[in-house]
Amino acid sequence: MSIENKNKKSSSLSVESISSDDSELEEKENLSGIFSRRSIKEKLKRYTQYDNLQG
Amino acid sequence: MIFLSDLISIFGDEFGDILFLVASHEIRKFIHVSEALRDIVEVTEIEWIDFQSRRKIADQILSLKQDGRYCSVLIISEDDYSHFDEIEILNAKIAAISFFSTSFSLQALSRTAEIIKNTNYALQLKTELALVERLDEADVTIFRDEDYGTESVFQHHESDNWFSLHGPLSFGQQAVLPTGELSVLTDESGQFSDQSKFRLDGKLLVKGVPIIHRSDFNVSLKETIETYDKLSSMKTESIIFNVKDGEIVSIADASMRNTSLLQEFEELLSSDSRYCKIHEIGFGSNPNCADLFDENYFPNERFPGVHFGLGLGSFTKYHIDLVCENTKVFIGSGNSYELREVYDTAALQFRENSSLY
Repeated sequence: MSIENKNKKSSSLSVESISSDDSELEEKENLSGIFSRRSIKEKLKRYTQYDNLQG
Repeated sequence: MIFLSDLISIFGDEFGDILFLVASHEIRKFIHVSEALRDIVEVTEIEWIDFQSRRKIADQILSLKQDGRYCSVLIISEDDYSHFDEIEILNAKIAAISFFSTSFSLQALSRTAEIIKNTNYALQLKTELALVERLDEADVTIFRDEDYGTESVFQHHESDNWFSLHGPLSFGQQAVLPTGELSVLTDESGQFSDQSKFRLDGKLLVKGVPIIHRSDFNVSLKETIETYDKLSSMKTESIIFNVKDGEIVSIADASMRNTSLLQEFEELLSSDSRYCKIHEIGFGSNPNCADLFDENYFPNERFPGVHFGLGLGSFTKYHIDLVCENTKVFIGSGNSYELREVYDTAALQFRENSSLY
């Protein structure tokens, strides 16, 4: 199970907050046909290593 | 003696109302809580006895939540760290140091504490974001060992399950320390399917250190260490995984000698065919883990370079990470694969030099 924190404070520096800023722009680019693939930034999730190791 | 204040920068500058130190009796003897820290935040201790202690922590967090209060929790134990449900920790930050698979020693704890103390979370995030941006720009990732001339090509955009492990934590988040890894899995976190495979093809040179994570208490620490010992000769010996569609289809001795390492890997892969799938590709990003520790040592996984993970706890007996110390990571774009090395594995500095493939 991944830890996708949706309750982050806006001041915190995080991959999620940065990726969400870019998602709208990328969506527009996708619509215009410039990019067809979904960016890794958009796919990225925070998780605990434990999930990865132990299931 | 290890100072608690050196272990808690993962929480940033906001601990909440209480900082909980949760440690087993054996480990607690080596942790010093300074008065200076107590002046900053109320420190409350909980003894970690067994898995039931987890319930006690959850109850404390809930009790604070009902009063509209927040907390940070550091757990250090010889047991495994079972993550909390998101809903349980909305008012808490949780960090854990676990010696479940690697056995506790003061030396291991001290080394881990030193890594954590020196971890620069701003740099870690910057490094990781730069790596993500480069991967986003590129068409393929290439793993190459220049000494042996091996190469494999990873169509990384075909994978959806990307994960980040960095600090500092916000309330509602939890992490195992030390942090510093970007990884991609074939499946959702905690899931394992025989059908899902990476688009990874070519030859992977396996040379470096293994990290053996036992699945649960049904697998003893003794046999975990024995498995580590069997594979640990990959520090000096090397083998080649021939990979097709993300699966190891054959292995070979890179030095063309019939080493015991080859035999050990053959036994491992034949013991459970699920180990043949490359389940994880991890990009370590903690430069303080650059000096690999010659033991079954969890922080080796944060080595600034690449590791490949086989199996998954709850499905296979072990999850096995293979840190490939000399493997260079390149990204490539275009038909001729113009290559760029994504990081210098020694200094973790991104390189801009390019060369034509």
